[in-house]
Amino acid sequence: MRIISLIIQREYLVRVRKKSFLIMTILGPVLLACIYIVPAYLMLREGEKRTIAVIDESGLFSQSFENNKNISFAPINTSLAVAKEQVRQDKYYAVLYIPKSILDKTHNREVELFSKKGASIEVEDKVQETIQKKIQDLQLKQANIDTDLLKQIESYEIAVNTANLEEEKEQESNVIASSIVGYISAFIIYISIFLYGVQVMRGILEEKTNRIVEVMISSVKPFQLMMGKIIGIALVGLTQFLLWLLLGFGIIYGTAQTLGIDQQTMMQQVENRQPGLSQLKEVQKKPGLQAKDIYKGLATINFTKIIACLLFYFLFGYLMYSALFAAVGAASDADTDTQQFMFPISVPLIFSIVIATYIVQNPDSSIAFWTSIIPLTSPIIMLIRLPFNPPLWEIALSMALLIGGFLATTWLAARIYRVGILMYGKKVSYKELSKWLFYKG
Amino acid sequence: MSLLSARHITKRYANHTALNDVSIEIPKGSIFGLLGPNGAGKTSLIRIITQITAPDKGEVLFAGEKLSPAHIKRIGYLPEERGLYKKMKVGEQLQYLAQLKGMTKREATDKLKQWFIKFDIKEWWNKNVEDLSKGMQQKVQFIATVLHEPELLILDEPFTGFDPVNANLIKDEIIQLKQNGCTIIFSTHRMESVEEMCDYIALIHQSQKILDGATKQIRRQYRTNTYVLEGEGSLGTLPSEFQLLDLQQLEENHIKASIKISNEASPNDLLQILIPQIQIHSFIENIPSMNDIFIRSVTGTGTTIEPSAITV
Repeated sequence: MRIISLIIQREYLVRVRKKSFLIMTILGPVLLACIYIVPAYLMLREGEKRTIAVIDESGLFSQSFENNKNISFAPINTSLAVAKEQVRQDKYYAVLYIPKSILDKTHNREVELFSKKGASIEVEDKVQETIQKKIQDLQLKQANIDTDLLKQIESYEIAVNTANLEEEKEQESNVIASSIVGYISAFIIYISIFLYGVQVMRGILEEKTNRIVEVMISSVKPFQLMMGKIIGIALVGLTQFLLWLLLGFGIIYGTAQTLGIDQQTMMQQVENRQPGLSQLKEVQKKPGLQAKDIYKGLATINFTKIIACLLFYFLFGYLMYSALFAAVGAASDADTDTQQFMFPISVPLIFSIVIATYIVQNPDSSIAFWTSIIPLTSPIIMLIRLPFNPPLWEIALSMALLIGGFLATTWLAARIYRVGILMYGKKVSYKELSKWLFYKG
Repeated sequence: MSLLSARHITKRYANHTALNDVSIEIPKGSIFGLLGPNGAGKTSLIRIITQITAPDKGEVLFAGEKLSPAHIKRIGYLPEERGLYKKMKVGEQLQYLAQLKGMTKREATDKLKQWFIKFDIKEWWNKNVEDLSKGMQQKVQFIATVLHEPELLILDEPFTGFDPVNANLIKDEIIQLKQNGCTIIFSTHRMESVEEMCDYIALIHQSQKILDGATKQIRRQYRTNTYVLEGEGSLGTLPSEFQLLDLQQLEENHIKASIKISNEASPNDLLQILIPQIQIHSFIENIPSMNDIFIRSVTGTGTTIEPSAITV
């Protein structure tokens, strides 16, 4: 025990003291914060005030344009040519020309926006939205449809409250919130297994190429050396996570405070920035299902359970895979040799992340069931299923099998490791690896 | 009394037998040479003694007890393939390796300070290993091997990689250690590099021990009663007890002759015959080197290659 803790200590300290660890730990959350804060800041900062001259020949829109923080509209009576000249002289940001024919059904409904360098999308959207709305209103009026009534009709919302009957308490759950949570936690597992698993492999390869390994195993058992490294690196991973969380929250809230960005804007930014959730975006487009509903849904998810499971699946998923990575490191002579053995290890991980979209849509399908039970895919798939409240016995079975998987890969890896670390300059085949499993001590 | 006895050790790998029924006895306080060409099985035997691998058959006794993990800290091992953690500081690394051998950090630090003063390398403590030259790293490695004051020290190809100055430094250290009661195993395929230091040797060839015993005895056993004579003059006909094996005419009437003496005669008899004929410059017994002995015991021929010069 003393020996293993010495090894863990060394593996941990060597990595934590590295400059690259410090840089990654600081830079990680800074980058993350930038992704969320910069757009929010840019959107909210007092931009240059843009005045848009409006030449309205139809005479319909004088009351329709609403000024906002950045854009204001100024009706003018000069000719278009004069207005264009004024834009050139930077008196106005742009000039909007609304022809008389805008109401004429036989013409194309077109307005013209002249600006010096090309109008920004924001301005363009604002103009289009305003005019379109006004014309729609006018046409509704012409058809004798009461716009207020229509608004009232449109605002009817049907809320679908999904409830899970298998839980004792009929817990409200929100599909979208569950998908987001499932996705994010699965992705965290995926990335960290690779990140830290490869570190284990590199570490072992380093010991092998440095030739220190023979010195080491004349003092300690190969198994101690392997486990010490695996556990040491796991602690490095946990430390980095923790620091990222602390620093990340610190930076986001610190900056938000000083910049005066309120939390809701931040949340919206976060919302806009969820990548890869295609079906989610579709839902967002539907009126009535707004970000706030998703946050309401998030509130119904049992985060204690998810975080506890995230930790469990990270720990044992990592332990199971890093044992395999350790075996790869021991069986290879150089970085380039690792490729052939890395492939079969990566396949179940990549497969899990590929079918993740399917699992989110069908969290109770038989594929979801089996992949969340089988240890090689369960760390990722079970976390996707978790927010959808799978039966407890399935979680228990999956966890038990994962521990079993960890013990099995560790046994396997230890046997490959003790032979592999002493083999130099030999390209190893799978056939040979299988023989190593049965060598005597 | 033997500090270590390996009895009937057999070790097989998938395609070949590394050791075939090898037994050695290593007396306490001796320097023991484990000699043989590359691939003979020396490293396999060492890995069994250091408990890196286990034998398929046979047993190893350490100070009379069956070899067990408890003995690890009583053994120091300098492998042929040497290495250190490159990105670690010299001092920390040595502390770490010593702690793995069961020393406390404080003990290790105290001992290390003595060694650093002895080798005059105090300024290395905070250097990264990768910043040291190869020879410097070898010194650090040597300290790591002996720091925990092992009773048994195993040195695999100890002098490769050392420059002559450092090789001598290490040689002196080894002799010092022996005087302090340490038992040392040398393993090497370059037999001439260690033979004068070894009290006992074992020759390993093709996974088998072909010869072992005290160095002096083996030498005596393998001597051929052949003498090499150098001098000025000309050699007449010798009596039948003496057989002229080789005669070289050197410049200015000098000769070099190799003469075998039969069991009935002595070297002094030969000298009495030679003195009237030749001005003798040197008269040396041709003692076989370990290399010769090795070749003779492997091939069964009696040719000697380079005489090892020991003046009688």
